[in-house]
Amino acid sequence: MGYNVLIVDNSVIIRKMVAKTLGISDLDISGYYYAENGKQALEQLDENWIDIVFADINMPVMNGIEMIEEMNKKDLLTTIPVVVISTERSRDRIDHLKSMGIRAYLQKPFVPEEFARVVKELLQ
Amino acid sequence: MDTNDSAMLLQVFSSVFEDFAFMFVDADDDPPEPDSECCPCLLAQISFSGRDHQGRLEAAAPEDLCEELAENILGTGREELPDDAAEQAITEVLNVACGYLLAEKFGTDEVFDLSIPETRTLSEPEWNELAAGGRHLFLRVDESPMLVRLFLDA
Repeated sequence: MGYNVLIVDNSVIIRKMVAKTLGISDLDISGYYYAENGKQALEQLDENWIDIVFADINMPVMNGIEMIEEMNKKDLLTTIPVVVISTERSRDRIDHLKSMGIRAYLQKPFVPEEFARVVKELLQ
Repeated sequence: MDTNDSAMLLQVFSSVFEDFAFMFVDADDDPPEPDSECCPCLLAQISFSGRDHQGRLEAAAPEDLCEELAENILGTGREELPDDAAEQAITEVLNVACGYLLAEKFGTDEVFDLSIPETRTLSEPEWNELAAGGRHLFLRVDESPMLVRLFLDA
């Protein structure tokens, strides 16, 4: 059985780009779920079985940090790996995200090969 | 804008366009000629705020260039693009360029909050006024004109 992935970004371009990169990797993805912000992502997590989350930080309504805080409150980060994909380059903020429990951080624009390697390490 | 900022903007936008969309950027010494064929254009803006520095970054480009950018990012034809692909593409490039620029200019110790980027359509007179204003850096992206400017609050 394949993996279900949740892609959280307010940009449809990035959501499609992440999905396309997953599609050309040799990972067995069975379901793609999408959210435009953290609030929608939490709703998707309530309603669906998700194996991994890819999330931006800078989003309207509920940003990525607030979403990760909410996932922590529900103890979801221990079972669902979160990969942050962002333009963020501040060392303190990246360290803070890692201390919150994210499993990997990728800078936009990511290299597809690096993206696939990170995801394989987390899922397999 | 001072010369250092202009050089940095050129370096940042060149890198982002090349990495994101395999498109190539050159600096243009002269402003783009008034040209009705390049309109409509899009103007995108993003603000940043850190402990010691605040400001905004803006970019303006013909809608055709923004659609080509979306096509290249996604590797799809124009007919498969979402409705607002042009706006989304320039917005995302600006978002990535802003993160890169802040790290280049101020280092990675300062934490910055970025706004959600905003876009609007520029009319032909607005584009011509911006191009003639002399306050933007003039770029050529695969032969299409583009204007970028960094604003720093005092």
